[in-house]
Amino acid sequence: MTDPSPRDAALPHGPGPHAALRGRTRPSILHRVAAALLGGYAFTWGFTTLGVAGLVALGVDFHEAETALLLLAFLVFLSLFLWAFAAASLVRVWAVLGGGAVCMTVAALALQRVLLT
Amino acid sequence: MAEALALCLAVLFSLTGMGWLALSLEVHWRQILGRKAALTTAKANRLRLAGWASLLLSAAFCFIADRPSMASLVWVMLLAGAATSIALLLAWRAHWLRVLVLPAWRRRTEYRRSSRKHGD
Amino acid sequence: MKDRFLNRMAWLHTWFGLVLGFVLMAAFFFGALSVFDREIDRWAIPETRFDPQPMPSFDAVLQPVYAQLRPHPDDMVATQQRVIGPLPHPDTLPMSSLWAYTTHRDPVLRIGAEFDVPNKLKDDADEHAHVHGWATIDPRSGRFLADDKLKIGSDWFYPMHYGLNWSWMNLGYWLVGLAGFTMLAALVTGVIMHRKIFREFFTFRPWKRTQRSALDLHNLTGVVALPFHFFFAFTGLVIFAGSLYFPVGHTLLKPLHKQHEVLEAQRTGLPHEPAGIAAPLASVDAMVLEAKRRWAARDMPGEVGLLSIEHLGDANGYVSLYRAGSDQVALVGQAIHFKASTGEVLREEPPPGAVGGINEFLTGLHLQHFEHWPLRWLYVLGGLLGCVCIATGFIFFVEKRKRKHAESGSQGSRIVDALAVTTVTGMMIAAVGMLVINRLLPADLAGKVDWEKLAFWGCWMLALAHALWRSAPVARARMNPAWREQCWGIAVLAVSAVGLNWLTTGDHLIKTMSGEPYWAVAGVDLSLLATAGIAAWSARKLARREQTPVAPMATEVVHG
Repeated sequence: MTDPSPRDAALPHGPGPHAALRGRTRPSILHRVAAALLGGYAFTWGFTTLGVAGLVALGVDFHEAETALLLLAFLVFLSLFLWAFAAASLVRVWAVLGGGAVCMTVAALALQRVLLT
Repeated sequence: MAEALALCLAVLFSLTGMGWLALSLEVHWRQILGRKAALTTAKANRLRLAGWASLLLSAAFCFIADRPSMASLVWVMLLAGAATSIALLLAWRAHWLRVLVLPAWRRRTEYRRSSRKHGD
Repeated sequence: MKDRFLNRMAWLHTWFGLVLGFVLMAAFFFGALSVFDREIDRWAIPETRFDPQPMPSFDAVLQPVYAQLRPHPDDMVATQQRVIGPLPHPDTLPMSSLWAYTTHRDPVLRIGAEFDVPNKLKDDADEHAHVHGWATIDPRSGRFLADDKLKIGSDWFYPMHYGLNWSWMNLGYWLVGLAGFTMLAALVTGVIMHRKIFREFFTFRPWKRTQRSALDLHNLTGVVALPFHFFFAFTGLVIFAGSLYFPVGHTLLKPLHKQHEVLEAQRTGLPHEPAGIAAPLASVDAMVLEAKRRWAARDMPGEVGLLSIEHLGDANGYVSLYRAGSDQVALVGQAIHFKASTGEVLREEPPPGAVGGINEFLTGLHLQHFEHWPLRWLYVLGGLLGCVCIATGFIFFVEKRKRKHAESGSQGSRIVDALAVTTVTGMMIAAVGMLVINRLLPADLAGKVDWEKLAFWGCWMLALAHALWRSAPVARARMNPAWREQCWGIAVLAVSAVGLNWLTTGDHLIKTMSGEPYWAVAGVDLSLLATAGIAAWSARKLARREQTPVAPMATEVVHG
């Protein structure tokens, strides 16, 4: 009952042969779920880390920066999550989310090293 | 004591406000005043205005009763409670909401009222 | 393009809502109960049925209490696994910090302390060389209350709300977190799907077919309490974000965090490390007086909500007094720190900055330690509206598919329906059943706590078994009679709980509501009776719905 079948996917809108997810195989749906959840989560990690490091570099108090970014984190995650479901290309989703996560995390760690020396 | 009174008034105004907003929708206006009761645009606008004014009044009493931070929470939650109450009244005791129809609004609709309880 | 977008949002709403809805329901239901967790504690532990108390005198009451406090055996076992070599005897471990916390609703006082451990830690990154002790005391006398009584409200329903009482690998927290996140996504996608938000704002048509009236109620309860749903899911996530969901300051940015703490200690004058020189403790009561004087001078007189002492017995020791936030949304605040050995003020915390203020408001509105009874009840209402929203979501899901499934022989809607019964009525049976068992078992029974927990899970499992056993009609596109039968179960259990409370404690409603009223217990009793009434009413309505013949195959019902 938890396996989304392509037929059910169109059901919430009742009528309409325009099933958007029709023709998609189950692995591709799971793939999208994984991209949205894990990719979005990883991107949000990178965003939060870089955001905190960046704000600290600008002279903001660490806890103030952390609080601000954690308030934003779930809004960012939510937007990414929904976008990952709406986006046409899964490759692009992974590229943006995964690439963003790695770049921002690396940048944050580099910034931290600069700040600590 | 004054706070309790202000809160009671806030509850009252949130209920009347939501009631008027419901009446400003044709389906509920007809549900209460009969299938043939006409809701003109002017009347709907007046109801909407009265509804929002009443909700604002309810907010004012919330802010009289409590500190601003607390009052904003109370008001938002009151709106949820009031809207639910009005929806449940419309479902089971729709005719009670006739008390909200002011005589001036009622005049030309009353005699056309049908006996149907639920119009939809 | 637009259709594809809408369909994908609908898919997300349907399937994430369904799968995580079962967890989300628990979060909402036990969250609603947690609004009155202290009151449920009073109901479940009759010897604590006395009036809420302010923070007692430290010098006269608390100091002797802390002298008797020892590391908790549970934490001794847990800590032993983290350290090299056997831990010394708990009586010999020195107490290094302590705290006491109360709110305007607490008759009993919760206290705790950290004890230094001399052992080396197994994990180099682990810096927590402490073992904890905790207890609940009667603040009027300083007497320790028995540790083996389960505070059903604040130690069972409340942790159920945010962690499902499933601590293994923190999986309960993660599941609830995912469910809360799903709630946010479901609200956004729900608004996208719902095309007539304003036109159908007040629409509930119970006289229509179950599928339609369930959808009405789903939309109604979702929309009218939208701000509540959104902010509670959101703030719930934010509360755990820093420690669990995005712990950047404890992982990737730990070096930066540590540097900040050292700088902070220099700036605020609150020592980060002990000096290593023994020092006595000055009168804490005098510090409390001074703190209250300063709060009053800032035009916000108040009581102490949280008292803590760091570096106990050390020259660097300091006492922190936080004002109870009973008249504000933020929890506690306006801390004033004193040098422990002299009582001089080290620091008076300034009001929080913009971000800190927003954060305090958001977490405070969720954790609600303020004094505002009408708002508490409105929160219960909000939580229950959330429950109705999720439950009607399940029902709509099943109603929409069960005819088709009956034709194709699929068991999908039957299983979903049985799980829905378990999550909606079964969860209430578990909660009320636990209260009944609490009153049935003798107070001095050894291991009563475990029996109560077992009763909770046992009732729930029974409800699941019953729902599955009775589910066959769903496969024929009819209604599962378990809905109705479990409603009767709730009604009987709830009335029994009220009766048993009277029989075992003598506190019947007339006594708790008149003369010297005790509203904590009266409120729980009245809520149980109201629950019983609504359950019985629902059961009768359901019986009528079960009678109605299966309608012909629906042509189409548009969602929204």
